[in-house]
Amino acid sequence: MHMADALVSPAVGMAMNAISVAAIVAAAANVKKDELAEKKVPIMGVAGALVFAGQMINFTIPATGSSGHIGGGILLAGLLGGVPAFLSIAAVLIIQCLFFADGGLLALGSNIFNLGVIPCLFVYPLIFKPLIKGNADYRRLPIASVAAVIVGLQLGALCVVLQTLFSGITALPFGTFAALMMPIHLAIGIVEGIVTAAVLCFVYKMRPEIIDGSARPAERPGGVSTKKLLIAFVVMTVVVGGALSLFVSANPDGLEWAIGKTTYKVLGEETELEAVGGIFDGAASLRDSVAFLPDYAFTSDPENAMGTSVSGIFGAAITFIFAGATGFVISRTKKRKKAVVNV
Amino acid sequence: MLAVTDLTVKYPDGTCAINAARFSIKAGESVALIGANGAGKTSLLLALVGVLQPALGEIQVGETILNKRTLSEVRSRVGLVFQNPDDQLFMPTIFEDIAFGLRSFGCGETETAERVNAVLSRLGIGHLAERSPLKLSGGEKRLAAIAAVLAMNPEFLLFDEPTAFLDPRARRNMTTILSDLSQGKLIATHDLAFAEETCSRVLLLQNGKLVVDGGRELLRDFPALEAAGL
Amino acid sequence: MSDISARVHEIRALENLAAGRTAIHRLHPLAKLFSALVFIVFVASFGRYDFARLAPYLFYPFIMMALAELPYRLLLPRVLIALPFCLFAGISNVVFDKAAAFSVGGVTVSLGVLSLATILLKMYLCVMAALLLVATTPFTELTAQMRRLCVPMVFVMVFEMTFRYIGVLLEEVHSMTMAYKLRSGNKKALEMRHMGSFVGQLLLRGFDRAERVHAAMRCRGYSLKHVPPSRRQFKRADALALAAVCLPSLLLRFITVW
Repeated sequence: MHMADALVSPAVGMAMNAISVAAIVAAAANVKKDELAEKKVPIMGVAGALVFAGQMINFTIPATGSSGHIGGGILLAGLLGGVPAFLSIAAVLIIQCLFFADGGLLALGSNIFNLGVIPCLFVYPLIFKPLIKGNADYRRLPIASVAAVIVGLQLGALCVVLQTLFSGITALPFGTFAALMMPIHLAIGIVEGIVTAAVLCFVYKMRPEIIDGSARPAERPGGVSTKKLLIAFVVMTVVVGGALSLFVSANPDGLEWAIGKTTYKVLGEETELEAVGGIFDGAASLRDSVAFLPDYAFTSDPENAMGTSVSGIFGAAITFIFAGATGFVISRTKKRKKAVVNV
Repeated sequence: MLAVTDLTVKYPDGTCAINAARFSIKAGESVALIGANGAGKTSLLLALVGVLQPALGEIQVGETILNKRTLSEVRSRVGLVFQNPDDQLFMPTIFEDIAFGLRSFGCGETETAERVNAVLSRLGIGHLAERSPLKLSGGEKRLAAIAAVLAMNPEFLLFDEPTAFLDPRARRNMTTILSDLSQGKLIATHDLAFAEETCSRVLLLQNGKLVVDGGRELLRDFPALEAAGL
Repeated sequence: MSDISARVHEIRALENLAAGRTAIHRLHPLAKLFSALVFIVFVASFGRYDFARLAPYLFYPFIMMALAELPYRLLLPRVLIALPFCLFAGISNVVFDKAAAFSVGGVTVSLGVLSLATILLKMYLCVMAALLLVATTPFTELTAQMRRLCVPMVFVMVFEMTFRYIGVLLEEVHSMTMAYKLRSGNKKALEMRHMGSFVGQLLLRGFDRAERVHAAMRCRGYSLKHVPPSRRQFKRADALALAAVCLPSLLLRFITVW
């Protein structure tokens, strides 16, 4: 469920990038305070590579015939602790974005938030750790793993839906989009949770000392700083969320179009849509009262699109051919120059 | 009989890993595969069990020609022992790991247990059955990896550097074990003395080409070996 | 699971491309990074139906590929990786957005189809911009610039080591899955009940490896405090290149050609 550049608007993308950069800086500072930081760095690096490589292992899901792969956030957090795990995941996501075209530079922040910040910095300390109660064993590990993975994936999927909708790229109404994404990710979450539990139990059996917060008494970087980090995140999220909704409300056809116009088209979704519509109305009135945001904005309206028409498409085709030809001519000239030099 | 005709294997980027190799190994025969690093020894072994797909040529085990349909059969008849035993030992205990292949090919539980125990005692590692591969020494891991392949009763065994990283005692032990095995063997190795002790025939690979197929006297022909990059 | 070796191959191929010596390769990495970012932001800023207005942006990937002497064959398939999710979002537009946009020779094109085409074009442009960056910039230069931009040292190290070990561990996973398949009677994937020990072993071995790596690093004087200085100067050519990408991007955003 990597977000792609083509699906986020600059406002959403840059806002999420800002949040993720802040998260990385804060997490790195937190890790560096630890006396074991030097030793942890290679482990975090190899762990990142492990997640990447581990995701290439396909397994068959019993009785379905389909196949799945591990996710990584909760698994790594269970082994390294939330903050180091987050840095590993962030490194992997950047590499996937740059070298494998998985995600994109603009969508990078969204992906780091959905797949890194949520599982490692929210779900792990708030769900996994309390369920383990500082005392990992074969009964608590599976429960905590499955619960944490499911919650993490649900929140991640919800964020994908919200980021896409706030960007105003897809015509899917919120209810339908969520109704598609959430159950799929519930199923994925159950399977991934079970696998995560199996892996953590195996590691616990072999090397109980590795599991974060099991036998080792309180030598992890202090709980207080994690809490501070969390508070900082909540504040930041609220602030950026506010800024985001301003952007969206300044956008003439973003959410309005996605939600307002399709309210009556989709049967059975009215309730959710009305709820979101309500939020939107709130945002719209907020926009009216805070009208300092220029409306030139990052979209166009449907009337313009009508004007696009045949001549526009024809023009686009010519542009495409012309751009390709330019590249071709440059390549040819370069090759010829080289040939001359060789002679 | 394990027969290879005009086998050519290419890497994804198009370079030739194995170039028109042609040879055969009789049942019970022991053949050494030597050549410099990167000469294509591992690629050849991987091609023989159908992990790498040949661009050209044919691999035949008995009457069976290796193709998609016969892949499973060939893999049960030709066993490959990996260079790094860590790659091969992925189950929680040695017993489970050896049993893994047997169960996959449809063995019942009692037969599986019998065969696992038989192969463990044959290699003298019965005491390792319930241990985790993570906690074994390098020599023990290698024996366990061989046991995992032997348990399936293959007709031919392929070894990739069986003596790498072994201490002298473990290496002597390996010599004895390999000499005692009655299957046809192809042993890729840099350990020329070991090759001389265990094999009657030698294949010399150079840059993916099979340059010599001859008796073990080649192992003492140092100018020829040096010319091949060894 | 041959896609595992394909991935190893992909990284190597990009590293080989990045080792080129064209004018584009010689540009300052920051100039390339910022121009890619600016380009992507402008492309992403277009509306849902702006297919025609986006088209001129195609000059960027084509000209860059030609100047940097990058093969189309290598880069094109990677674009497809981003396809599934974009297609999912795009096709839903076709379903929900049936109003007619215009018609060509009697065939009516709906707004949904127009927006699908726009999403796919955006996807192509954005993916190419990122790929062009890494295909013309060696990894070590990227991380040197990360340090210069004051990205925390801890994170840069983690980033570098992750990149370093992806190749090693991919090959390890590749051999392990191969060994699994060889003895599993031709299964396509692992059974779920084997995942615990399979991935668990991989993790534990990875951590052991990390410890050995750490020891080897310490022998060669590794410390978190050591920061190698970046000697790259931002030259006039770099500024010109940056401007050459940013200005047209800006102009095309506000001037409608078609």
